Amino acid sequence: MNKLIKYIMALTIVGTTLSCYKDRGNYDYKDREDISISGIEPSYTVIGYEEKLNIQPQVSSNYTGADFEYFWGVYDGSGTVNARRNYDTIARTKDLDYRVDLPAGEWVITFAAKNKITGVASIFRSNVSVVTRFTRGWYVIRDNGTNTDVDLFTTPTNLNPGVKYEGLFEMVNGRSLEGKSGSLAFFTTYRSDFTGSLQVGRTFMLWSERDMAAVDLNTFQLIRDFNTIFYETPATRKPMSINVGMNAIYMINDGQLHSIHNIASNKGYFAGAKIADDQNTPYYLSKYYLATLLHNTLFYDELNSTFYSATGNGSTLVKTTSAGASKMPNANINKTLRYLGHKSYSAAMVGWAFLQDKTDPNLRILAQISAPNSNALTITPDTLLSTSNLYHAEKMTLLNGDENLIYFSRGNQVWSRNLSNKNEVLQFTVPAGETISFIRHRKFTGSAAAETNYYHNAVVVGTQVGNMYRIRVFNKVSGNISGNPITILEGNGFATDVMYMSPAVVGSTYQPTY
Amino acid sequence: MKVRNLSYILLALPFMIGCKKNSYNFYEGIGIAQFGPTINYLYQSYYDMTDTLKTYSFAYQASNTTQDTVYFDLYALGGITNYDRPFKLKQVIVFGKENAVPGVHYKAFDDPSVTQAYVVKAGEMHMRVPIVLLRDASLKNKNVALQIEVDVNEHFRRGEANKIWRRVEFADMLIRPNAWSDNHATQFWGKYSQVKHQFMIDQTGEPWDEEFMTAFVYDLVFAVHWKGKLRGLLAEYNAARPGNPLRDEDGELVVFP
Repeated sequence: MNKLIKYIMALTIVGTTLSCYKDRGNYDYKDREDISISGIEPSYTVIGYEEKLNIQPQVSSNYTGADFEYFWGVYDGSGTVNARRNYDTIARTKDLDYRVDLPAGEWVITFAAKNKITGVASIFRSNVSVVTRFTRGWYVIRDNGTNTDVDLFTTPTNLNPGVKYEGLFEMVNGRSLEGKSGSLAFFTTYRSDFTGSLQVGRTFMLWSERDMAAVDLNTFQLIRDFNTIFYETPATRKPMSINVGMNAIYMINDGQLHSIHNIASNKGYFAGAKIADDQNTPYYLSKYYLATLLHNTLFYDELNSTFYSATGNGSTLVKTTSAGASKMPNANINKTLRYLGHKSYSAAMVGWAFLQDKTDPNLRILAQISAPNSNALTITPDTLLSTSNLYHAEKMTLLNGDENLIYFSRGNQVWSRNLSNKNEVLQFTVPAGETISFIRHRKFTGSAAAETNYYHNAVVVGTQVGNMYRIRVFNKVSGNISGNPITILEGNGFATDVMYMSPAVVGSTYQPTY
Repeated sequence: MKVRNLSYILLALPFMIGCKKNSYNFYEGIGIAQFGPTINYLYQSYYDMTDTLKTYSFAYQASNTTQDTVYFDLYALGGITNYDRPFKLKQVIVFGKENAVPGVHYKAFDDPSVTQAYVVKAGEMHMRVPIVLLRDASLKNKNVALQIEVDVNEHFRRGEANKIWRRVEFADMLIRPNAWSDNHATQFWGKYSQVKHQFMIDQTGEPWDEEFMTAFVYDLVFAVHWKGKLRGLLAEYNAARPGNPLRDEDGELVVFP
């Protein structure tokens, strides 16, 4: 007990001794330093790789004699251009004079001012929308008889063209593509090291009859061409089709099928041509294909009149079979494929083929092809009467995911045919002196307010007038062409395809079909 | 009463668990030496173990080649120094394998001709560790395994358990490259045989060794490309020999899946 009392006393003495310590604290309080930054807008819009940000901020402090140091930085605001959101310092001066060499996208710049005396800093953030001249507009692929290039029609306020950039590919890359015009396709799954690291980017694929180019949409600079996009460049240069299918990008060159299995690790090079089988049976694919999101893509071998399917990672074509309900064989059918397209990329595999008999060219068939399990085909043929307009069709396109119609041209007329009841309707007659060069269904729809003036669900009719092309974009309402064209694009040369591009266009906007 | 006891146990449990020693390595005054991926894949954990096992064959080399070197990547953790730091390697026995013999199948790590190579240079945190393999006549008929570990010395202690070792298996005949993994065998190359391996080398002019096939780990489309090419070449080869298709050393038909 005595011990306990001693402990308590000792603790008391220590406590009272400490309590005698004189408080020499600094109670000379000052106001918190307040650094104010002005002269910076909350948002900017600039054209990447071209325009500068010139910003002269005003910085002040409620502390007299403040001595500031500054820095400016930038990072990817959305994480879509640069997934790691690397932060780059772009200046250490008060005033910013910075050429925005950034890909299109939403970025954030930060400005920081730090009082070196007190160590107090203030940061201001501002959003920067980086666009390019190539971000928005109508892209037309056309040739001058010997070379292919692209014309870009900007669309400042709506789908009507503003400025036209003729020969954009040559303007940027110093050359055009060799040969007559093929077509174009847009990908967001194509991978390359164009930006310095291996990643997917917004990529245009353009092709002509003897050349092709993968182009970065931000800059329109060439990523790879025919000589550099294969692991082993094919001996014959004849791109016929580049399209996306389930987990793969396919290229048909000189009738041979190449692929990039784009869900696997890859560097953006096409593998060598697939072989037909272990006997290396010769084949020559049509440019037409039937692609859907959930099934192997279907191809047609013109040499053996046989349907094949393929996968991105397979080295051989896959033999199809004929399903029990099929009314027509899947192989050796002795037909030329004049057209093949799908009804919807995201739904079950259903497409339509226009077949012409090789022995009797007067025998023409419109066949519905379905393949619910990818490789077993159910083909339902309908022999066309020579009295029908479709029998004489020259250019064809299906309405993807919309009404059950096929559009086609006959002479200078554009017709539609109801695939259910065979009813044919004359939709448009091209003026005398013009010949129809292509027709397409192009659909860009959505709900983004910024795109309201640009959305369209259109039937596009391309014609030739002497040495010029004319492309009419018609609104489609309930399956029919509605009124006058919503816009007309004109230029020099022979056009074969058109596509509208905007920041809101994604990989699935335009379905992979003719 | 039982409930109260249970409550005590539950209360005590987190403290007991909390006392478990974690497995992290902390800097304790000397560096840590451990192996890792090639430096371009550093900080990408997916690739941490890709270089653990290598295979090598003298069969690809000219007949007068008597030795060759394979490299593993070693990292010195804990900061750089302004002086050179030797590190120590040792061989460990691999059970169930024919183990390499120092001085016969490889240059011993204390061989004066190589000891200077086992040093992390001043200012460096990474180096490529050379293992000098010797072309002994016995390798014509067998492959041997050399498993190495980083040993403790005055400059380094051992790193993470799964990063302190590397293995090379080598021979003077065609052997299955480690990159011809079971997974890639299923997808691309099929069952391994020396006949098939030789066919691939002869027909393509490519070595199909560890280095060449490692590229497929990072680019599966490249493997698709070669698989298609090999199938085509095999089809041509067999077509030129009707009734006598290519068979491997076990008499089985050579096929690519």
